Amino acid sequence: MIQPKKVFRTPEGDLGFDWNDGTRSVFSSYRLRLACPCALCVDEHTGEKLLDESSVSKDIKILQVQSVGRYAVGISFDDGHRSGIYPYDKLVELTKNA
Amino acid sequence: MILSEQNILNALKAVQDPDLHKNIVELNFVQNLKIDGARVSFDLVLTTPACPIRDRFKDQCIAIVKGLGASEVEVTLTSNAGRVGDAPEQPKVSFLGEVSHIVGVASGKGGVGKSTVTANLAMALSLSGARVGILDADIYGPSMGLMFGIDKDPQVFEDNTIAPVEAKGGVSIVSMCMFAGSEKATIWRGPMASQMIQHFLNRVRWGKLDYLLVDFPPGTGDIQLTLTQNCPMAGAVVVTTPQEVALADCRKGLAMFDAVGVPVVGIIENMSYFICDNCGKAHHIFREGGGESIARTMGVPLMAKIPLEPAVADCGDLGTPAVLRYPNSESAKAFMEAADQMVRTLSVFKREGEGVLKNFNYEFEQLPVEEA
Repeated sequence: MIQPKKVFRTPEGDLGFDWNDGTRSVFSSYRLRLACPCALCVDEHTGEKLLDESSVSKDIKILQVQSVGRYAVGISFDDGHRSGIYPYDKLVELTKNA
Repeated sequence: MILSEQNILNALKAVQDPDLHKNIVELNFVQNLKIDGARVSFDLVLTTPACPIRDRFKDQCIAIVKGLGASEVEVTLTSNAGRVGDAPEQPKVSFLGEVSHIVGVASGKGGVGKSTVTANLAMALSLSGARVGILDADIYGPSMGLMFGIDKDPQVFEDNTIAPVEAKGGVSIVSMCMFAGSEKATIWRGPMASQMIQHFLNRVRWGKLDYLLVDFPPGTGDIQLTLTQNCPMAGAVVVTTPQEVALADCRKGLAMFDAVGVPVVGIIENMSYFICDNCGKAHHIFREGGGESIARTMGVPLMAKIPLEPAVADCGDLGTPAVLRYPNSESAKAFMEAADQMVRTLSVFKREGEGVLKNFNYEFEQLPVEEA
């Protein structure tokens, strides 16, 4: 079960995780915002992306990072969006597809 | 041999923890060691006060240190029971921080005896010396009031927080049945139910607890998700009966915990067999081997098989869990063993999960800066 050992930010303002398997992931705020899996951004039934990517500012910032149970983080962005719950295993997958 | 700290610690390395596969010195259990001439005293700081082999540890330690020439050896058993919310970043919105282990008791199917199992596990833990609470999260069909024969209302404070009711055996309980009359139905849609659960999770003044058992409502829906998202569960126990119809739902329960990253302690098979009150023979009235087969295929241990015993079956209705009322019954013994196993497995989970962030809430600007 993948879980974080450390959460950090980089000098460039990216969000980073050190995982318990020894690997590390770093994401830009913009990339995480686009990958938001919440029901406002992705259709729950069809999986179709509902988020209009052009509406997201390139220099969007993360305000808060909070654990959700033992499997995910909730991230709040400065555009007011805070409903995304990012499971740890999905974040690791996202790193691999970088 | 001279009694020195080094000698004593070296000798105590012979005492192994059978679950963690390390010796007690390596595990840092031995603390506060004092030598006064031929008198030796120290604390054994265990991972849980309910450690099933604590007396064996103590006896072994005393024998070893006496073997080194000490005339008197005093061993004090304590537990450190690291708190779930130790992290300084934990916001003070919840009293769950004082609870060491939160354990979900769930089933896919209703009617398998989940609440009976919860009540008896809690009682078994409490009898072994742990501080135990039960959150009855089955808001549509709460039964903890009946199981423990509670007729008191919980105290509600001005700031809208709640004190749990202390029931038989010193178990602290909060249940929906204390808030709605037993004849009244709770008719709520999902969001309302989830809100009530969050209220229960954050607003109950549990105080210091070693174990908080959360009695889940049956199924894998709204409330179950709210529960797993809002409290950092140390582990989960899944209850089933031997029939295929229950086992199929049990698999779903296991899959749910897997999806939300809660490790499963094991499966408890309830109503495994019937012990005839006349001939004492065990009859497998449903079928045999269901629990074993699901444990094997899903890779989780089968913790216990609880029989149906006519002599014990009315314990729930009479308001005293079987473990307390008939401690020598087969059912009670099975529950005690399951509780022991749970305690051990949670200790192992905890050690495996050391260094992992469990409960956090960071402002981005306050995160440490590191090169990618």
